[in-house]
Parts: sequence; C-alpha cells; structure tokens
Amino acid sequence: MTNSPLIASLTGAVEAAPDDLPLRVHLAELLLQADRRAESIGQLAQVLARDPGHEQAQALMSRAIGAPTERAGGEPKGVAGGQSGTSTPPEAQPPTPVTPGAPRISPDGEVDEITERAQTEPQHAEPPQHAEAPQPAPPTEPPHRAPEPRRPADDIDWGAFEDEFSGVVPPRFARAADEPEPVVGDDDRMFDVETSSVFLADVHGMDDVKKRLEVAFLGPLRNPKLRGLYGKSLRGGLLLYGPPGCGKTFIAKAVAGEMGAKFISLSIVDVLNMYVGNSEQNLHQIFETARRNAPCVLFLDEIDALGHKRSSVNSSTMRTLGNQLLAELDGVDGNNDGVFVLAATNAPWDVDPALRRPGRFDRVILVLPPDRAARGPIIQYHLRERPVANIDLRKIVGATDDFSGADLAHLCDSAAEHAMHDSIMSGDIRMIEQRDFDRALREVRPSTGPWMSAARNVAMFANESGTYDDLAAYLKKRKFA
Amino acid sequence: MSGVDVATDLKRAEALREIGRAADAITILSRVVAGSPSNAQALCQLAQCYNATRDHYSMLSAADRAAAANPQSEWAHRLRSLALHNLGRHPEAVAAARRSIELAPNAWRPHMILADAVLVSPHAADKRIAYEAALRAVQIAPQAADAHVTMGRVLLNIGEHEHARAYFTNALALDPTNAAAQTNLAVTQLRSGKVVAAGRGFGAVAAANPTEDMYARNVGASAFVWVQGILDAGVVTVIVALVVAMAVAGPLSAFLTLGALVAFVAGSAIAYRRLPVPMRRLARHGRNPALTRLNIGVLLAVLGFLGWTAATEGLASPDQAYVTPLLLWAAVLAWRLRMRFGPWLHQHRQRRRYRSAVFGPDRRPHIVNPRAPID
Repeated sequence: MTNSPLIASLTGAVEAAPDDLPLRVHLAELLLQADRRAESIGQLAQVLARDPGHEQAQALMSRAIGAPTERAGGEPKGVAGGQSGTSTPPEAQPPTPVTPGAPRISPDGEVDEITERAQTEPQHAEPPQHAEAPQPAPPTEPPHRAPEPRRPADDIDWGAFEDEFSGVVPPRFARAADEPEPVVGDDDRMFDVETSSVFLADVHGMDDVKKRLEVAFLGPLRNPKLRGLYGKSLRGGLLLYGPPGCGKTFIAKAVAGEMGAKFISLSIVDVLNMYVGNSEQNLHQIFETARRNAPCVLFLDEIDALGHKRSSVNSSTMRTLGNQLLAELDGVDGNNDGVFVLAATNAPWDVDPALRRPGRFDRVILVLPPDRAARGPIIQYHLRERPVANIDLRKIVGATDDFSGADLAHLCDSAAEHAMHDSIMSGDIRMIEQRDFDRALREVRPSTGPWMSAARNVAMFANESGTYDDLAAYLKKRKFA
Repeated sequence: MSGVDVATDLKRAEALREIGRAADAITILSRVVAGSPSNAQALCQLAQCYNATRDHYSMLSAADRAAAANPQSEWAHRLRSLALHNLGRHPEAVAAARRSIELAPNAWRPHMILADAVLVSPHAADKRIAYEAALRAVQIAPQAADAHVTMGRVLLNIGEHEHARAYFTNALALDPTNAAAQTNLAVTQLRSGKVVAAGRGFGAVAAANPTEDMYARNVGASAFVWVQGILDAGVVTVIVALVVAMAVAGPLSAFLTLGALVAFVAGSAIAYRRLPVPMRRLARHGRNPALTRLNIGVLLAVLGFLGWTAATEGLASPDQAYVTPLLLWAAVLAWRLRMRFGPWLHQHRQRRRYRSAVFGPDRRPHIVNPRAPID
C-alpha cells in the first residue's frame, strides 16, 4: 500500500491538475492510510492554502497531525519499557535504517532533534511513572541511582532489588543536609553515548569520501581475516577536514552507523565546560567511557582546538590537554581496541603536527562542499515540507557551486521567506516559485569563500609534504589556485 | 557567580583565546563582566579578545572600563594604548603608554608599547624615544622574543637594516616560530636585494599562518620584485645589444646580439628554476593581473626587439638607425633605475638624518645579547 500504483497515478493526476481539490483531498486520504503522513500533510496544506475552509481537508489535517504514529518504533525516548518484560532496552536496539521516502536527517551535518533534546535535558531523569499503577513516593527516595530500563524477564534485575531494599537498609554513612549527592557511574558526564542511526547511504554524493572511507577504514574493519593476511592495522584515527557546514559530523555519525558502533561526540567547548583544572582528567574519562562502550566511534570535533599547535600555545591548560590527548590516542593508559577515533576540523593547518604522526591521525580525508549530484537531493530535502511549484532544480544546482549544505538550507529558507513576504503583502497565498530562488540566489553567497582563500594559501605554501594534494587538485579544478 | 566560577571562566576564556577561539572567549567574558562589571582582569581579557578579532572600538571600550575599574592596572593602560594606536589616535596612545610605564617602570611590555606608539611619528626626537623605550624593554627582558622584535622594527624604521636583522635573528633564536620576527627578517633581506631568500622566509611564514593573507601577499611582493629584476636585466641586455650593433658591423654583430638574447633567456630560466615553488607560481601568475600583463608585455618587447635586432643586423648598416631605439630603451632603463633605487636613496637619507639624533655620539645602535644575564 505504501507504494501503491493508485497513489502514484493519483499523484500524477494531481500534478497535472493542481487546482482539483477533491482529487488532492482523496490523494491525501490515501497517503494518510498508507502512513505516508508527511506527504499527506503536504497535500492537505496545499488544499487549505487554496481553500482554507475546506472541512474535509481540515478534518484530515487534524488526523494527520494528531494521530499517533504506528511506525514510531516503540515508546518515546526517556520512558522505560516497564510494561513489557520482553522489550529490548533502548541502548540494545539496532540502528533503525531510514525508510526510503521518509524524511531523512539533514545531509549537511545538522544534529537531529532527538539528539539536541537529549543534550538539553537534565542529567537525572525522573523515575518512570506508570499511568495504570501509580506508585506512592517512597519515604526516602533512592537518591544514588539513575533510572534503568527494565531487563528481560529471564534476567535477574539487580537494579530492581537494590531499589527495593534501598529504603530498608539504611545508608552506611549519613550526609549533611547541604552536602551534594554523590555521583554514581557516568551520571556526571557532560557527553552522550549515542547509537547512530545514520548510514553512508544517507549521505548524498561525496563518492570520493565514501570510497576513501571504505578503503582506509571500513573495508579493513569488515574483513578481519583479510586484514590479518595483509597485516593491516586498525591503529590510528581518521581526520576529516574541509570547509564548515559540509557534513563532517554527519559523515562521522554515518561511519558509526555503518560499524554498528556507539557514538560519542566531543568538542573543545565540552572539555573546557567541565572544570578547567581537571580538563586532562575529563579527557581521560571520556576515552575510558569509549573503551567501556567498545565498539565505539569517538568523534573529536574541532580537533584544531583540542590539539592546537603546541608551539603557539602558552597556557598550561591547553598544553597539558594536548599532551593528554596524545597519550590517550597512543593508548598508553588503556587499550584502545574497539575505539575508533575520528576527528574533524576546518583548520587542519592549526592541528599539532604530533597528532598527524603514524598511529594517530595518519589518514586524512577532505570533505568538500556537495557536488552537483549531491546538491539536488539536499535542496529537495530542505523543500520536502514546503509548498513549491515549478522549481527548476537543475538551474539551482548549477548556480550553487561551492555552496555548503548549510548554505543550501539557507538558500531554501530565503526563497521561502520571499514567497511568504509576497503572500503577506498581497494577501494571496502562493507557492514558492523559481523567481523566489532567483532572488535568493542573488542574495545568498557561499560561506566557503574565506575557507577557500585560506586553503589556497595552504595548497600554495604548506603542501611540500603532499598532505594537501587533494585540496590542491580541487582548487586547481575549480580555478581557485 | 562565585569567585571560583569567575576564576574558572577566566582560565577557560584565556585557553580559548590562545587557540584562536576569541569569539567563544568573548561570550564567556561578557557573561563574567555582566556579573562583575568592575572585574578589571575580565575586562582586560575581553580587550585582548577584541584585539584578536580586530574589533578595535570594542577593545578600547573594554580597556577604558578596565582602567576605570582599576586605575592602577598597567595592563589596562597598556591595552588602551594599543587600542588607541590601532585606531590612529597616536597622541592618546603615547599618553596611555606613558601612564602604563609610570605604574610599572620595571616591566618590559609598557616600554615596548611606548616604542610602538611613538614610532609612527616622523620626528627624529620621537624616533629616539622609540629607540630608548625598545632598548629598555630588551634590557629588562633579554629573553623575550617580542622585545627583540620591537627593537628590530624600530631599527628597520630608521633604516638600520643590518642591526635590525641582528635583533630579528635574536628573536628567532628565542622563539623559532615567531611570525613577526620571520617576516621582518625577510623584509630586511628583500631591502638588501636578497629576493629569493626573502621569498623563502615569507613563504615559511605563510605556510605556518595560511589564514593571514598578509603573509601570502608578502610572498607575492617578493615574486614581483624578482620579476622586475628579470625585466631590468632584459632592458640592460637590449641596450648592450644596441650599442654592440652600432659599434660592430656585419655578421659578428648579429652573432653577438643573438648571443645576448640566448644569455638573457638562459640566465632567466636558471634563475627561475632556483626559485621556491610558490614564488615560481606567483612570478608566473602574480596576484595583480594588470601588473602581470604589463610585465609580460615588457618581457615580450625585450625578446622581440632582441630577436629583430639579431635578424636584421646583416641587412642594416651601422649608421644612425639604432639611435632612436637606443634612446627609447635608455629612457626605460632610467625609469626602472629610479623605481629601483629611489626607495634605497630615501632610506639612505633617512638613516643619515636619524643616526646622530637617535644614537647620539656613538652613531650606532646598542645590540643586546639575548643570553645576557637579566639585570
């Protein structure tokens, strides 16, 4: 039903007769029945744009927006699966592949909403509440443990036992009234261990990058016997570099998804936001967490800040942090088996040369602005829930050389802004059209320009070792050099 | 916000500024300043960050507030001086630098700032003040590379290239990655005709600081000077060929002219091969298309004229036919010589003018050894 020929046929008919509202409503209803909710909402939005009082469309819109999703995949995040003894704990769930046709996570490296929300939520979540059987609050609530998901029935739930007896057995040491509660496990950590649900197939274009990833990283990882035969080591990390907004973080998540590994992302702000005096200890803790969660992709964003050239750093904080990072990468204090360190930077020239030595970040991949093949799907993604008509995608793609993924998103926003402004001024709601994109293209300039300017200097003056050959070739091809 | 939080935030901001994240540091410091408006250290750090982002008005504002919060802070007055200097308000910058020295006479940085603030003045008396301030800074802190760089810049400004080079070399011995020392050392090399060495020096700085376009422009400038040298050699070759053509008749003249053409082309090719790769590219393409076209035009004119002279030698008679071209090319040579030696003459005159006023009866600057024991 999801890809019903009837729907396809009706879609064609609607495109041929866009003002045929009953036909469009019928299509929206079928789409809703097929659980293609986003498309249904899009069709209904267009009906309501033409006839705001259309009752059937309004009713369908209410259904489309309000009804729970059948394919949502279990319970909302943050609620433990207490009712079902056989339900899989959230962290054990395999990564959910993105359904073709469903909205995908932005290929420009934006963080998906769930992750953002999780990061902003307080560390100590409320204990699960069951609507059917509300539990009375215990006289002294168990203070030292974060709620845990319920284990399967055939497994002993030691956590439940501890919770049960914690009110009976008094604590060994009393605390003063103003003394803060001690922290247990990883509850004080400032970073999230995620399970990536993004795959390389979700990354549009970037064939060269995918190929390099396959050759340098994923291929040896998937073929341990061949790896042993050829004596290929998995030691060492991978450094992604390129202009900002081109999807380096997204690619790192996709690598984690391909590997079925946990994903920890860390930036200089995270490290420094912890207590400055303990930065190196915090960094060690993060590596330890990654080791405990192996296989795990540890993603160091903005590595140029975390591992800045030590020759240009005077403060002891940053110097010791850089030294600690080198020690952790070398695995001096722990075994790094199963920990795959990826790093990203906009400024590889600011990265400490010691980090580029063999065994550390010895594999370097250039992530460039999306090519022509990638720009079309990215623009389509950003327009997926917007009313558009007669957009000349090929023309837009041709006019957006050097636009990053973020620039393309901005372009679509600008075009929508122009269409909305016109609608407000004229009082006549209209679709986003090619003329809006033409106006937006005159205003929006690629943000990669300053980076390319610096990159040109790098390719010209700092490429004696051939590290930036890829970059030099690209600049030559694009006539920047 | 507690005292511990403030101290932590200040450390955090300092770390961020050092790794080039001045904007992030400004966010943190603005929060600190909002909570403690009279925290002079936070305001000084804020001014430092604005300096890094080249927002000189905001830098001055933060430094003014720091000086108001703690009038006894030499750091605040020093930052004020720097901001005023960057904004072109030189007399105020000098006054702020003097105030900073009053508050910390034995610190080297206030003297360095005064030297910088005074150096823009063309008066010989001010050059002397700049020299004495820079000398004081170097004497107080002979291990500080920046003090040596300042002294070198003062000497470079008054035309003492050789002595300036000694100070820049000292600075690089103390801090081999000091971009200012590397750049200024290359400037002294360029001014003394060592174009390739200068280009190499500029290239090393540009490689280490690719985001600073100024360093890349310096490499372009040295490549441009090299091209000009080749063109000058071409003009001289043409004049020699014309003189030979007038003096010697017949096939020998054609042979000599052809020899001059071949020597010029071969010499230019060898010199080109010896250039560092970035200089070669910039010599070929340049950063200014109009100048590149002009250079190519002059070069083609030289080659074309030499070729024509060699080809027509056997046909022409050694009479007055070559006088007009000879005069024209001599005029070109005179123009080129003026372009080349004009600045040199200016510097020479400047040096003579300043030498006695700045250095007194010794008429030579004092060289401080960076390894000398601190007073």
